[in-house]
Order: sequence, then C-alpha cells, then structure tokens
Amino acid sequence: MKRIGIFFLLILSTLSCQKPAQQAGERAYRIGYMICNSEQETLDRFRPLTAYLAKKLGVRFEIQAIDTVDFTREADNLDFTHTNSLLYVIMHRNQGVDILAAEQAGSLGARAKGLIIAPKKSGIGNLRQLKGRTMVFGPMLGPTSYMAQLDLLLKNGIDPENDLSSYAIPPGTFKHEKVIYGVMLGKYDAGAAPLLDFERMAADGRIDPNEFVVLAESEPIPYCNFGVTQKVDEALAKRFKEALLGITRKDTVEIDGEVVKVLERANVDGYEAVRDRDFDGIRDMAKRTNMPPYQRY
Amino acid sequence: MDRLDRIAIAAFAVLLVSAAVLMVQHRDEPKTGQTDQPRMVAAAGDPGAAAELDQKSKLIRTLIESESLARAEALVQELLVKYPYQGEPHMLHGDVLMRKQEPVKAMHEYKQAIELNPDYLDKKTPLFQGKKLKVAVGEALAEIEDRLRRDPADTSLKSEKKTIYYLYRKIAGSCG
Repeated sequence: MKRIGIFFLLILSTLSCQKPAQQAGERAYRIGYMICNSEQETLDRFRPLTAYLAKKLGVRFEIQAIDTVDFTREADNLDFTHTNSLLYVIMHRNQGVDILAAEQAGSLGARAKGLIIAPKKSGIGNLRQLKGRTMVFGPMLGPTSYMAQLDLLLKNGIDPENDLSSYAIPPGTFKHEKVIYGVMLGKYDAGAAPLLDFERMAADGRIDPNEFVVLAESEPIPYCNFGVTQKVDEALAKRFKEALLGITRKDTVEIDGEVVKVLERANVDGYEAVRDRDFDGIRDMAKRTNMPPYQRY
Repeated sequence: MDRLDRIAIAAFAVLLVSAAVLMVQHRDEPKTGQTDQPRMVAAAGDPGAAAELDQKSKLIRTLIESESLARAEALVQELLVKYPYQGEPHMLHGDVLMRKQEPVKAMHEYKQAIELNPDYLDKKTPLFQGKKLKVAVGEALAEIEDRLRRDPADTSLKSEKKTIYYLYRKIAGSCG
C-alpha cells in the first residue's frame, strides 16, 4: 500500500511538471507589424501568419499594427518586428534589432525596386525633364517609394526642394496606390512608386502599364522583413526564423472558424534567409539622401 | 525488487531527467516580472530618485525618437550631474551622440554606462543593450580607421582604438 502511494505521488509530480507556456500568466511575445496600406489590411494579412507561428512554436504572440513613423518609438516594447528594409536598418543601428528573414513577393522575389513614373502622354522622357514639374512621393520612410527615388533624382541633378515646382505626399491610407492613380489621372507630372505595387495594380487590371513611362528605376534592395529585438532569447529567434523559412503555400491555419492559407492571406510568396550585409545598399542610399539613421541635422 | 518498485524507480528517473531538461531549456530566459527598476532603486538608494530617473529617461527616449536632440541632450546633462553613479544617463547620452553621427564619442559614453551597470551586457536582464552597442563600436572603429588612413601619424587615436577593443572584449564576453 505504501509503495502504491509513493508510485502515485511520483506520477502526480510528473504530471504537474507543466511547460511554462501552459502556465497562467505566461509571457506573450509581441510582434509589431508596420502598417503597409491601412491598419485593418495589415491585421487581416498577418493575423493568420501570427496564429500559424504561435501554433508551430508553442508560444503566445500578441499582434500590433504600428504606423511607420511610430515604429522606432515602439521597438523597445516589441519582441519581433515586421517592417520595410529602411526601418530595419534604423532599428538595427539604434535598437539592436537583428534580421531574421526577408519576404518574397512580386517579380523580384525578396528584392524590390523603386520606380519614377510619368504618364506616357506627358512627353516626359527622362529625369532631367522633371525640372519645374510637379511630383508625388510615397511615405517618407518607404525605401522604394521615397528614398530610392530621391537618390535617383539627386544623382541626376534634381533636388526636389529646389528643382521641382512642388511635390506632395498623399495623406491617409493606401499611399502607393494614390501615387500611381495621381500620376495616371494627371494630377502630378511624375510619381515615386514601388515596382511591386505597380505590378499588382497592373495584374489586377486597375492600371494599364502602357499608359506610363518609367523614367528611372532603382537598384534592387531587400524590402519587407522580419527582425528580432535584442532582448529575445537566441534559441527562440532561431526557431522563429526556421518556422518562417519553412512555410509553404500549402500551410493553413484556422482563424475565426475559417481555414486560410497563411502565405496567400499575407499576400507573400514565401520567406528567404537574408544577412545584415544585404542591407548595406540601403545604408549607402540613406547616407547619400541624408535619411535616418544617418541623418545629419 | 518487484515490478512496481522498478516502475517507481523508472518514473523517478524520468522526473529527474525532465527537470534537468527544463532547467537547461529555460536557463537563459529572464526571470518573470524582472524589471530594471530594482537595480536603479538599489543604486540610487532612494525610490523617489529612481522613479524620477526612470521618468526622465523615458522622456529623453521620446525626445530622441522625435529627433529633438538638443532638448534630449540638455536633459541628459542634468541627469549626468544629478546621478553620477547611474549608467542610464550615459547610455542615453551615447544614444544622442549616435543620432548626431558621433560614434566615437558615443562609444565613450557606452563604456561608462556598462562600467556603472553591467546589466547592459547581460541578456538575462531586461536592460540588455549588447547588440546595439556592437553596432556602435563597429561604427566607431570604422571612423577611427578612416581617420588613421587620412593621417597615419595621428597618435591621439591610440587610446580610442584601445577603448574600442576593450568594448569588443566586454561585448564578446557578455551574457548575450
């Protein structure tokens, strides 16, 4: 009887050894997603991916959509980041964020290009002809919607502050689309748009690429990516990266009672391993254009 | 020894191994509820002062992110005078100097910060800043090498270079 009692005590002890993840009040890891077009769109895209990662890693995640201009202020409160490549470069330098994986989307995979476009009927054929004209840019911290185009303009002797008659950045959501429509409808003489958005709008039939002339395109640079903040355990960061690299088009997750394909909902083709030095081109560009994190006041 | 004894011994062994595995898996995780506050309170010896330091540090960080570097630096100077034994004002001063593109000066502030509070290089604490410091030290080295290329006879950079390699050693040997 005594031995049976000891045996059951041992079994009880073994069963009571829960993993920390199962304990009440266990820490939730926060993933900050940079708002791409709108907060709602960003959450819709990435909630399934986050749920998939949580299930795969056995970790609780909280999701937060953060405006581009607020992201660096929030970085110290986050565990993982999903941002564009310029924000990664800023946070790597200022907050010690490390790169995990780059997102593949569009014809260039894990790379992206910035375009300077004009309506074909405008007769503008090169960047120098933009002197005295109007131009519209995307969000200021967008590497392929502002910085890359500013770099191209400066290299070709056009300083937007002095050489354009005026320039604008559209307010509110879906800025890239507003830029492209603004050029298409003739509100501006030229615009700065990411190749990816241009391709998507053309594929959707919302624009006819033949109505535009591409005045210049930037070198390919990494675009959206996942990073990890310096406080996160290296082993978890490694597992997170492996989980991202292992996602296939077939992977699904159940969310709100619906089974969805993770990559399809996130509007990406997959994730690719990338190194910090792959971002050096963006660093050089930021230095040339006096952009953060190398801005001089 | 009958069958039940053997099962009990096996269960005990499983329990021990499980405990060991759990300890190894979670040894690098920060302790639950651990914050930077206790060390600041202990160091300042005054909870009111620690709260003030914490509050002003948050304000300075907000100013830095808002690119109000002159205001941030003025507040940092106040903290440096008021809390000479705290690492945080030095860490913030380093952050301001990095934003001003002065990595060599920033490196000296970071050095003081980690000497006053080694938690900045201990990943088991929420104060860990090792990755950020590594980037800063790398930029400081690049700047010094550039200056040396321009003037190889410049002996004033000798101590700067020594500081850089001191920090590299500290970062490499840190718990991160």
